[in-house]
Formats: sequence, structure tokens, C-alpha cells
Amino acid sequence: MSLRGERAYADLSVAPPTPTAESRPWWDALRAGRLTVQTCGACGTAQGYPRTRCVRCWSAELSFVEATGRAELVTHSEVHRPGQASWGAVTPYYVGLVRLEEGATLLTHLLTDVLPEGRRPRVGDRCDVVPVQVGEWVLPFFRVAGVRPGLPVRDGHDAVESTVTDLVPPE
Amino acid sequence: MRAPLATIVGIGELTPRRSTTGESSLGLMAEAAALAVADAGLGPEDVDGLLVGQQYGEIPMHVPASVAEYLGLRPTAANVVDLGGASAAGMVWRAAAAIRAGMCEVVLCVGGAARPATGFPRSSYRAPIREYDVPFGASGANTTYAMIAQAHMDTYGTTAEELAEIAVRSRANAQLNPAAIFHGRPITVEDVLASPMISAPIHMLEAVMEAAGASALVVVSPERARGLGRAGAHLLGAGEKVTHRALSGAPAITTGPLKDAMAHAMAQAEVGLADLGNYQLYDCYTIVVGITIEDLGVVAPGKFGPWLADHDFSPTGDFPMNTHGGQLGFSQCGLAGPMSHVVEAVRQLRGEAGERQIPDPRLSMVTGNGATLSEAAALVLGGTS
Repeated sequence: MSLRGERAYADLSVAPPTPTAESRPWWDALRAGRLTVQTCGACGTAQGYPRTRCVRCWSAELSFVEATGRAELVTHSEVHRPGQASWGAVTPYYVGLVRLEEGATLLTHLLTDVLPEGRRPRVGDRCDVVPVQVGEWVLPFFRVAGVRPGLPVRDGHDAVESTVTDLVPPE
Repeated sequence: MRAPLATIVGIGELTPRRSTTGESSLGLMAEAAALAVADAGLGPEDVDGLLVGQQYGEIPMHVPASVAEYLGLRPTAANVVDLGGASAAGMVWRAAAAIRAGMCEVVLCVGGAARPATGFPRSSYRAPIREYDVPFGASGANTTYAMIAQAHMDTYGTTAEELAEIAVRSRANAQLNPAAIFHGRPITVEDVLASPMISAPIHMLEAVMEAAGASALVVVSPERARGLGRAGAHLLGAGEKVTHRALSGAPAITTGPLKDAMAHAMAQAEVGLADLGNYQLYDCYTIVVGITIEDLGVVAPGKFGPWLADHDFSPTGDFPMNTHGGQLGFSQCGLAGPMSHVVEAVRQLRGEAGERQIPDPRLSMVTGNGATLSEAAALVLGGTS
């Protein structure tokens, strides 16, 4: 298991983000250490990445709202052979999907440095955002805290009772 | 069961090889097309419809025109079908729709890929998956399907041994198919689990191996098929659904759009599970087979693992599945990989599968899956005799 913290990534030379006019404010906020989530003024949907329209109701009334940074782990993988060779410098590492408290789901890079020795990330784990410098950019990585929100902490597969695989935001 | 929508009357498939030395994908597709049109008892002059796949690394646009020109065709209906692994199944119903709309009569569906040992250069692109996945170290299908498999394991207790068993059975069926790239190389669960970890929980032997090759189908109306006097496979029902691109946009992780696509195909065919006698299920990774079996309704969500022990995927088993070896055993030659499932269904329904012939194939369920369990197409096929 990787015990790597956020300082290991600053010198990594990997494919950077490719911002558009829609996403620039989101990346700019991260550079200032803030994770935002684009939210619809008409229906309240928080969407995973910035768009010109709300993904649910197509309203154009969108604004960037600061997220709490708390999330739940939806799934994860420990990458041994990355699709891009430049990531080989830090293998093995974890990536995963996290669902923000606001309801949006993001793909992210997971920091597992505070998990106890031998404890792997699990679906349902609590995660917290950590803005991390990767090359010239600041990316929203998440640290796996290892506590499942609202669920008793148990060992084994049966502990997940919530519908964590159902990513549709509640109506 | 309903009247057929269209009929597949010709199949052509090149034997996969690990790499090519200078050949073009157009050249490979032409070879497969010639085999399929001859198999149908037709000639190039009969082909007036063309469906082709995306040509990664070679032809960024104008693919149908490029293929038509290379083959000397003048189609009156032509399209590229860009649904990843769902493209081949997606082509078959589009061929039927184009024929029924009066746009053409004989549709050539063709896909394939050359594979230079050096690979094709990566082209730059701008898309959300490039902006929000790649910079985090999550690029490529391995990592995505690993996250799908991990969710199934964490949520339902599916084991590494159960996932490995699917790869073992695909290889076992490939031993009956001399064209399969892994013919002569059976494996065990221990082999799978000892193979290098690519992206946990996916081991190397649970992922398809890329190869070079091409496949083609010829689709006509059932009336035209009768006049050809050649056995084929009727299209009885089809379903399709596209839900997202990157996994972060998926409506669910441990079930996919094939669930609705397969249900639509069976409803359209007016058949039920009991009518199916062979299953040619898209298998880029072992987890996809498990989820597809669950989404088909054969076993409850999360339960495919324990279910495996009581069921047999061999041609003489109770659940003949990927009798050509699947892509896990046959290899994935660009879009000819997904098309291999359609080709195998036609062989089985014709009774031309040789030593791997299913005694009573009844109806085939054929699936295609593209991107990240995002693009789904399903077909119900039946014999013509």
C-alpha cells in the first residue's frame, strides 16, 4: 500500500488538464485551494464538471458554489500499470470515484497515507478533498479517511448497506 | 416469436494475429468483406449499403467514403457506427432499419484493425474525459473496468477466483477454435491470479489481448435471404442504450445499459429467457461477463460468482457462452473483436461451428459493450431453417 502524501506529486510530469472557457473558473478556484461545484439555480443539481447547461434540466442559470470537500468513496482501483507511462513514477497508486456531499461524482486520485497499515480503501469510505500540486496545476485529490459516514464500521464485504453504486442524485 | 426484421446471410472473419507489418486496416477489411459477400452468394455489385467502424490511428473522418472508394462501392446508404464494442451489434439493427426504410437492399457491415508493432501515434483531443480523468492518473479501459470490478467485489463479496474462472472458461472454449489466438494455450485459475496485476483487481489474463484482424457481415431482408438459398441468421429483436462516457457519469457502477438493451431486444423478438440457447456476450474483461449475466436476469444482482459453480459455458453445457473463446480467448482486433460474437452466433445457428457446435443452439443472445459500460447493443438472433 502506498503511504505517499500530497508532497510526492509536485515534480510529476504528466498530462495536464485541458481547460475550456466553461471550466476555467473551476480550475482557477482550485489554484486558490478551493473546490467548487457548479450548481443549477433552477433545479439545484450539483454537476460533476462544469458545463454551459445543467445536466438535469438544461437551465443556463449556473453558478460555482464552494463544496464542503467531504465525499464518500464509490469505487477505486490500485493502478500498477498506468495507461500513461509518465504515471509510472508513482506506482502503485489509487484512483477512485468519490461522491461529494453535494451529490456530484468525481474521478480522483486517492491519498491513502492515513489508513492503518494493511487497510485498503473500501467502497463507502469517507474521503476529504486535498488540493495537490501536480506539475503546474492544482488538482482535487481526496484523502481516504477510512470511516464510513452513517454506517457502523465493520470488516468484510457485507458492511455496505447503502446503495453506493446508485449514482443518480435523489430527486 | 415475431417475424424476422432482417437476415444475416454472409460472414467473413480473418484469423487474428498479434501484429501487422505495414498492412492497412482498409486492406484487412477488404479481405473480410470479400469473404462475407462470397459467403452470402453475392458479388460486390450487389452491395448498396455500408456500415463501418471508427478507424483509430488511420482515418480520422470520412470513413465510409474511404472504405467505399477502396472497395469500389457506390452505396446509397453509408455510416460510421462509433459505439466502441457495441458497434458491431449496433450495425446489425441499423442495417435492418436502412433496408426497411427503403434506402438499400444489401448492407455490408465491416470492422477491423491493423496493429503495427510500434502502435499508432496518440492524437491530441479535447473532451471531458481527457480533462477530468487523465490528469489524475486514470487513463484507459483497464483502470475503469478495474473500478467496476472493485465495486462488485466490495459491494457483493465477489472473489478474485470467481472473476478468474470466467477467463479460464473463455480459454477452454478457445481450445475448440483453431482461429483463436490462444488456441493451444489453456489456463487455470492459478495462472490468472499469478499473472501481473494491471489495475487491481484486474490481472493481465482477465483483459482482452489486442490483435490485428477484420470481420464482416452481409445483411439483407428476409425475403431477399430466401432467394439466396443459403442458411443464415434472422434478426428477431434488437436493443441499444447509451448512458455516459466516463465512469464518473455512469448512472450505476455494478449494472449497465445492457440491462435495458437486452430487455428491449427480447421484448421486440417476443421471446423470453427460456427461448435462448446460446450466449455470445461481449467480454473485454471478466467482470463484464458477470455483470451481463446478472443484467440479463439469469441470476440476481451480485450473485454471478456463486452461480458459476453450477453452470457450464462449454458448447455442450447448460449455458453455452462465447463458444469461439470470446474475445478473452479469441483476441480483440479492433471492431472485429465485438463482431466475433455476432459471427459466432451465425455459425452456431447455421450448424457450421464444427467440433464446438452446440447441439441445440435455439436462439442467440449477442451483446456489445463500449467505453465504460456506457454503450450497449443487444441482438436476438435465430436460425433460418
